[in-house]
Amino acid sequence: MSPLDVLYHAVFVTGMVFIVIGAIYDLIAAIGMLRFSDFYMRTHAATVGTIGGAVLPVFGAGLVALVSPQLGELRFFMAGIAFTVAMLILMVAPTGTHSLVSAVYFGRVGRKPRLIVDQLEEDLPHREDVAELVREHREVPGEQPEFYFRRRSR
Amino acid sequence: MGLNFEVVFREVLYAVAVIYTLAFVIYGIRAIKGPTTADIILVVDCLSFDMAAFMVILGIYFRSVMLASGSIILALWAYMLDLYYTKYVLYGEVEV
Repeated sequence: MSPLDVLYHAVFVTGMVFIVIGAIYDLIAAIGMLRFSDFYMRTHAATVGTIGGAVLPVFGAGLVALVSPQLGELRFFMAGIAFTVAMLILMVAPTGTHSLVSAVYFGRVGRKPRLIVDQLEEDLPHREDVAELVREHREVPGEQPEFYFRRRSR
Repeated sequence: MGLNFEVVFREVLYAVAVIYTLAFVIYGIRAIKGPTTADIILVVDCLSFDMAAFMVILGIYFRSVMLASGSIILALWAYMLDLYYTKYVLYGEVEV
């Protein structure tokens, strides 16, 4: 085997290991998503499912596509798409989860779980830079109602 | 000696597809059960990102660039779902 062949085998085996580990991560995240009790706990499972279960196998698939001979010239396109998707999910998934959690917390969606300590709720009335957002709306005759935010009074 | 990359990839893909399908089914149970809308949207997020990952792997198997490039749209669609839900809950409307 030439040194180039050894390099190709190393890249291929690394990519396949990433794909298998990612699939196992995905199964673990699904079980956690089913068994965790409230929404804030389920976001932990969502992190495992997106970063471990999506970014890792896509990165591995890009490595596999880079050295797959059956793809021909197509393999560079495939690897480029795979790395693009991996970087996209890596940036987009935490942002989306954070916005969803802020919507649940400030919009009071569902029932709040019993917490031992909620430092955000303790801190909010004393801080000027973070407003606790209270959604209100004003009826405008003849038009759509107008929604706006109000800082909760102390 | 040397591995036949195509055969090894195909054999491993069978096992990986079984694990992914099982995970999708378990996600689907939570998506149906989910007490609030936020739970359902969190699960649909996970499903979309994992579907995007699985589509890239399937694109290598079917040798199709078109199948793999659809995963970019799928990832961005899941992100859009998050942001629109947040804007709807907090602001009361979706200002595009």
